[in-house]
Amino acid sequence: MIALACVCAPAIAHAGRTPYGWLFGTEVLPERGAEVITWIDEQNDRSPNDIRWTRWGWSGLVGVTDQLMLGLPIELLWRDNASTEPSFTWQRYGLEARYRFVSQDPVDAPPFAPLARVAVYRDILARDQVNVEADLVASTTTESGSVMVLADVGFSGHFGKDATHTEVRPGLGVSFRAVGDLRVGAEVYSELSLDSKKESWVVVGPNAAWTQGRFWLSASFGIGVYQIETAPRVQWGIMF
Amino acid sequence: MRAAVVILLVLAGVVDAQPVGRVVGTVAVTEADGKPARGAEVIVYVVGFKERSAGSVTTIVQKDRRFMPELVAMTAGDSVAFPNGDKFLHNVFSPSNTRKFDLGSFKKGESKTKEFPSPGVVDVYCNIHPEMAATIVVVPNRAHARAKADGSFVVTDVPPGTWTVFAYTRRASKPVSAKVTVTAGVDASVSLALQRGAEPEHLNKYGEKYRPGTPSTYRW
Repeated sequence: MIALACVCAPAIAHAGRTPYGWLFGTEVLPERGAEVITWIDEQNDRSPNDIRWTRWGWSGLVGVTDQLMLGLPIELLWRDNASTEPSFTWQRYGLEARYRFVSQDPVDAPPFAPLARVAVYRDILARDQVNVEADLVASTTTESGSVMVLADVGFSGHFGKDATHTEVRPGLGVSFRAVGDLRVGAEVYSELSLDSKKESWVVVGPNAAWTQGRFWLSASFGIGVYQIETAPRVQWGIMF
Repeated sequence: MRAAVVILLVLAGVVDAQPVGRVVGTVAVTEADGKPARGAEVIVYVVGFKERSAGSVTTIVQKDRRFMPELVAMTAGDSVAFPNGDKFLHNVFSPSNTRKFDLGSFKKGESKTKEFPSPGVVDVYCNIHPEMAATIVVVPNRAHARAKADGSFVVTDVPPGTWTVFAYTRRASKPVSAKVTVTAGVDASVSLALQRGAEPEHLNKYGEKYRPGTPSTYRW
């Protein structure tokens, strides 16, 4: 005998949220859904010359279909290092697309969810360059949603007339549901230069995420394991 | 506050083709003050055995800021199509644990379909228009019917046996039921009475109260 009851249930909305700090998630907005996200991240005492960055970005996101999401990111950058004066500037703006390859419907969604992300940025500081980013993200989640493991293999390339720079940005994270919509976990994130124009760096650290209604927040505190001291990052979003 | 609807479903093995009977009768619906309810949609379903879905697709249209029909019964495994017949956007969703979904916003002429694989009760709402509400009752067999305007109903192709027949209308606090014994080729008769109350409040898809005065009718 089975008793079926109509009970108050949690919200059903999807979002472009991620339970990680540095890693993109595999969720997208439903068709015509809209969201504004904001992020702040730091790179402290990065090699060479003890570079210190604080970046503030935000993006408007819209669900074009139930699996395709577009965004318009804008980023401001404060930077300092041992040899130059600090500066604060509008760094870049661009266009971003994220495509989730499988349905997000609770019944139809498989536990393994891949997502591709492509972004093209206009670099304000190096005006003859275009910055292209691409990520292949894959997550797998237990049936109850209690545990999520996610891998994010990113690529970033600056292409211009006089200079190019490319790097890969692999990352791996795990997130556990702690209480309600509070999640905790850990992640490793790296930016590995493919040329000599920039130093590589790697961080590992704890992360946490929380969702309340249309609002979500995630953060991680990256502790440097290679050529950087710390790299914290926090981001939040609100859906409309 | 939402009405709680509890359905007890006694699951048996899948019923093979065999002689069948019918359950016939009437359902009377009254308002909370005892007066007869006008235009109440009533479904009747028989539980106690299990049958496979025929893969049917039921349609619930969004028209004039209403779901039409507002109440349907269907077999587990069937689907529902949600076409938008209004000139503005709707965002159909369900927070019910039986079948959570969010169809996103879609415009006139567009339709989205969802399968309902598990028995249970599914409340359906629009995230833009709080006055829109519908209920889908998913049962484990094909023995369900819609009562006519006069309250009469006929549930066909019911296998012989002693089963429980339920009747439900939206805004009723719970379905009413009666035991029936079905014999092949014979009508089993039953009379049921329902009382309905006020439409309970519900939350939007974010789990929040709807903002008063903002039934935004986004035209496209």
